Amino acid sequence: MRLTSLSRSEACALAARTLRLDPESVTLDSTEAIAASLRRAASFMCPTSPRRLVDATLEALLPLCPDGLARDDVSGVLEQIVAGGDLLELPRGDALSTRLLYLGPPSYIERQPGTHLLMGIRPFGAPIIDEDLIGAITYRGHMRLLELDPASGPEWLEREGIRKIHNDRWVDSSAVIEPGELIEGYGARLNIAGEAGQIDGLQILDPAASVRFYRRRWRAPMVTDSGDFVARRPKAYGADLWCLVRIREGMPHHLIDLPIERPVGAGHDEAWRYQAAVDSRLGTPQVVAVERSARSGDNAVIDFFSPLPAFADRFIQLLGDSISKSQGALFSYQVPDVIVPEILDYLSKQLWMVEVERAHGTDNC
Amino acid sequence: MCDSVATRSQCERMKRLAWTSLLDTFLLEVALLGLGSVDVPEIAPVDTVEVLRQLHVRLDDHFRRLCNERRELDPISPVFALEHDLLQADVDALNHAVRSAVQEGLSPRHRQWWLPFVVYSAESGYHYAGAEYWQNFEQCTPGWRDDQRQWIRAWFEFFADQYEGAVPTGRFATHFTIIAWPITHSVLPSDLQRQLAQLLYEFSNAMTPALLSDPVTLGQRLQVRTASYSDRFRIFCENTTLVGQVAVALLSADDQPTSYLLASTLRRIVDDVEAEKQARHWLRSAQKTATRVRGNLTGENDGDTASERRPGVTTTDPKLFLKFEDGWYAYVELPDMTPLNTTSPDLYAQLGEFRGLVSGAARQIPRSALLYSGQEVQLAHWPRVDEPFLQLDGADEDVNILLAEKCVITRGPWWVFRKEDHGFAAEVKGKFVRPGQSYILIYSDPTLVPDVPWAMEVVAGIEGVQAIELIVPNQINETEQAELSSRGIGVVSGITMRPVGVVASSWDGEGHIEWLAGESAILGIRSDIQPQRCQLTVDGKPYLSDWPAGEMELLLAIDALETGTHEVGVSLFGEGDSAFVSGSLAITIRDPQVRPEGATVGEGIRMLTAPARPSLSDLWDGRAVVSVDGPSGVDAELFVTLNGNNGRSLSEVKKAIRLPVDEQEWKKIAAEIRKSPQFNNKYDEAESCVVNVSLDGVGFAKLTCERGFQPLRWRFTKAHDGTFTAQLIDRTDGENTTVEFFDVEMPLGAQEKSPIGPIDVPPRGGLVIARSGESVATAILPTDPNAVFRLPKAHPTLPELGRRPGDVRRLIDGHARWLEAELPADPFAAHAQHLVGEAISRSIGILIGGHHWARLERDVARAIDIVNLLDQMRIAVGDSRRERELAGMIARSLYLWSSLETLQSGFYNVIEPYLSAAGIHRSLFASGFLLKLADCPAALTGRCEEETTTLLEQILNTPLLYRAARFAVLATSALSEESEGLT
Repeated sequence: MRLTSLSRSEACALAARTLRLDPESVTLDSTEAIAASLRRAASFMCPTSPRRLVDATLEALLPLCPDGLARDDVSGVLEQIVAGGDLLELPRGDALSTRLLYLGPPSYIERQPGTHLLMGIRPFGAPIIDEDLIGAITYRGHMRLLELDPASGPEWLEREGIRKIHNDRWVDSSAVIEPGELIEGYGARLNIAGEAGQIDGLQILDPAASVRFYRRRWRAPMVTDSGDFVARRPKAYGADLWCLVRIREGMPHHLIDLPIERPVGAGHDEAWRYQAAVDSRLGTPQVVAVERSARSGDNAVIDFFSPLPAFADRFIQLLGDSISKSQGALFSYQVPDVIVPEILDYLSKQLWMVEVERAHGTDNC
Repeated sequence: MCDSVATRSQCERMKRLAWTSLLDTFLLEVALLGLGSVDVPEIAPVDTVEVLRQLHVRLDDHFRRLCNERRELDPISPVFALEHDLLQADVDALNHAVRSAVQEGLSPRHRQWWLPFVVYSAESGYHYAGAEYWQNFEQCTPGWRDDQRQWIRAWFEFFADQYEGAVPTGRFATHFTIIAWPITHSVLPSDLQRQLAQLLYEFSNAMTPALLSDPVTLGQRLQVRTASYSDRFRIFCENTTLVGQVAVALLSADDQPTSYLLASTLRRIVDDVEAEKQARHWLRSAQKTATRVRGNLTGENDGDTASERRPGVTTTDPKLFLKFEDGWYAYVELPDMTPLNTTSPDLYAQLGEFRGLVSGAARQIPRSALLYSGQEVQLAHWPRVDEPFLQLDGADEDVNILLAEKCVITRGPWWVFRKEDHGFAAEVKGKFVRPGQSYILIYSDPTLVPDVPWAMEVVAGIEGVQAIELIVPNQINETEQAELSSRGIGVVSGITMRPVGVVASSWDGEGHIEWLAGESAILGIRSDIQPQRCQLTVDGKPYLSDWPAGEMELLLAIDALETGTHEVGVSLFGEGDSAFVSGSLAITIRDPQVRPEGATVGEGIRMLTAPARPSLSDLWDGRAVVSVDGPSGVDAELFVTLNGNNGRSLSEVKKAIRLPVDEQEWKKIAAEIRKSPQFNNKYDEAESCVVNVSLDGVGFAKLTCERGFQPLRWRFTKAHDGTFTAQLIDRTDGENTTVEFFDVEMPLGAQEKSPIGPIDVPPRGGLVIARSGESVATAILPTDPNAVFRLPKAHPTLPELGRRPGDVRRLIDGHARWLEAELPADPFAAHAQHLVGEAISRSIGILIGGHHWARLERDVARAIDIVNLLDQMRIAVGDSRRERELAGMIARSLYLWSSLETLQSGFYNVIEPYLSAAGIHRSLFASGFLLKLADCPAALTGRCEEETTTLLEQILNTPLLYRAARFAVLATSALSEESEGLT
């Protein structure tokens, strides 16, 4: 056995290497390191609740992050890696009301010939690809990209036990419909839903709050609230349960648990799309801000202020890279300038989002 | 080894070439000796004996030197015949000399030079791929006779004696007393090389310098990780010393010669492994890791060995935790138990065969589930302190003793759980609390509840215990601390030890960390007051470190700690010599686990089988069941591939399945697949089968089933006219193989058949049983459906037997022969098996049940719908008041006995007084025995003969018991079929 006393920076470097990251290019509070740490924790702990994964990651990283690490930041990265397919939120056995995180299968999509977006986590801390080649992975935020020879790459990945998922199947976009139609569909389900009863810890997403500050939109119901709301309630051991709740004078009357349309997926995906429809109907559609490059052929940065359902997030992952979030944004992507119109068109059709001027302001918290 | 049988002229030409090669060597030697040129004699046919002699002399010299070198090793390492060190041209010469000798009759003149034969057989073993050794050997060795096989064993035994040659051990050596020798001496047969490369790759993170210099331990550690490998590879790995030595040799790089294998032999094996890209990658990667491990730590291993010094914590202890629902509920997570395989070689098989019983658990652990980690069980009662925590129902005593010792929960009277957010609490095995934290304490003795103001009772959803919550304030006064201490609960403050930087593979939040072997672990030690120095003890050995100036936390990297559990003590010192604060924790280093092909509990789709790793026939004949976990209501793809020799695909069946799939659902799916023509037509030809379940983006799980390494196996060939022939594939050494045939019409009458040559199968099929030593192969023969339609309905005739236990035993054994035989992919054969099974069961009923019951059995045999005979059955149970009461109770309970479990418990309740009245004391056992005798007599084979005979005697004396059981079985089965028909 060998014991070595480490300085903080040496410990950070060793931790980064153990996470199979380059200590020269990432710090432990970066999205890359948080994502790697969450993946590692998940490989040992799944099935588990999101909260336990975040706790485990924070407990390990915080002592080496002198500037601290916000719980929301770790939770945000977890949401991104769930959306990307590294983890799956599934009901646990027969207990359908308990949803836990499971390991996504090692898979890839080919973004462009030779460029592969890796997803999934192997159990027991095993690397996604062979240890010797792990250095070939490029980390972009929570995303892992691997450049391989376009001809031999797929065969090699198959041999590594990493399965191809076709791009359209991975994205699996929803049908294009009007916001009102989507809201009415869920409303009809609420009409025939059972009595909600007393719900402890219920939080609703306030439609009146600014769409630019997602985390501030959550609050407890008030007596002035009446209508249908996106809501979540804590589950003692499991992911928060997402639902739509019909409230009269602050009291929940009817409730439907989400997801309904896609049992394999996180409940929040349907909730977020519903909220996008509600925001659009209220005349305050959800927004994106784009910083286009000065030179043609360069990259643009798209800032998001509300979380995206997994299908939309995956659509953007096909085209761009996750980057550190811009000030005031919930998260940001970098995409080639020429792709921006295609993305805006997609977001407009699927989530009724609009582009706004880029403004520097308060963090989205 | 050879492509075809050589003709005489080819043999002559090869003999000349052989001689040329030897002659070349001779000439070279002469030249080196400076004898100058010699006249090259005219090349002419040479005497085979002379070639054998020269080879023998040369090999003897070589092996003798090798033997002397190996004797220097500690422990002595064996010599392998494959280490002959001959050039390829000389091997060719040797091959042809041996073949010529065989063609010349293998006389004593040839046999006296026996070493070439040993090398020849080992070379043949090197190319052995699990098929018929002798068939290949004979094809390559024209003129070889079965009666000459004994020479091979004799030569190898002599080789072992003369040169410290390897001696075969393990199951393979037991079954194959001759071919085990050449295969062992081939070191690593070609078809197993890829698997060993993969095993070394998967193990590479767990390598340590100590292991790399200890082949015996390395072999043992490797062997316990072979659960997911092929049957043949697992059998190979049972010879752990050999595996360890080969592994050490393969892991040595080019510049690091090994003492365990001759360089040329090692190079040859490595070259063959590397011929395949993936295997090359695995091996090179493992070699690289081994080189790094050796290089980094040579001389630094200072004897920290894995230990079980901390009695309360071992790598196979369960983890207790609580979850809050409407109260606190207790759960236990059971680890992978296979590391214990090093202590008990039978453990793996028994974990796969028997259900697990956890003290206090709400349910039993399914067979095979304990082979994998992450098995979570809820506790309905708190585990009893006076019984083992984990046992296997029906396992050997020594296995259960081992589990009782190695899988234990901490002792009471308190169990301390640290609360995490939102309803989860993990056990603190050290039983201490820390200021500022909240804990749930489980206890059974209310007098021990500590009298502190911050303890409050909470609801425990576990029978036999209560719970309190301790919300420990930031400041605890001395009285409170003393109160806790008096109750056996420690208070730790001022020091925190935790894993930092990287999430540990397991961490209970207080006193127990697990890291993976091969990883650098970072431990943070935090102090409320800044110390000057820190002293650590690891398993009692002290280490001293200065505290970093200005820091409240000392960060330590821990490398190369041996696998196992280590106790770490920490003392912090200020200015003085005495520690101002101390603490301790347990660190477990665990070998990295390998994902089972059926996936882990944490994955979206997971497949489990019972028993673990079933054979092809177990799976498709219904003796093994599969369950698939996955998101409820979601459709996944099931893909079944039948593979022939060398893994080539013969047939593929694709099917959509709705998740999850339980055992009952699997039976229906399997039955459908077996009926499909593309499966049916290739099943008998298949050597293995792969079952894949997958759903893009959700998960994939796989199950590979092999025919298994069957020493004897039946293969059926269909002729154009629809008739079949059966051929015995005999992989044994062919000693004393016998074959018996049983006709459907006379199912207990054995007819002897020749083990050589095909057997013409009658249109209705039948049963064949081949035996050789301990090896047995039984198979139901396929039928010719067209011919069966033309024949009258089959009526199996059973011999007249007396009402004696021995006669009933004969019927039970006959039932087992038919029911346990492998089925071909032929529904008519399955029908024939069923027909015979029913006839034998009925015959037992007639024999035991008495005159009236016999008539009923015949009516049942003729009935179209048995439900119509329920009243008749009730009456036939007996006509005395007592007998009528029993029949009435059963009749009234039938609708409640819709599952096996309810039938077993319900029947026991009604029959128990009657068993006591008949003087049968082990009533629970006897009740189960009766149901099996009535339902499936084959299930009674393998039990203690004396016990079975005694019970049968008692049942024959009180036939009411049997009639009651038979009534219960026939009636519940009829009602169940009727209800299935309705749905």
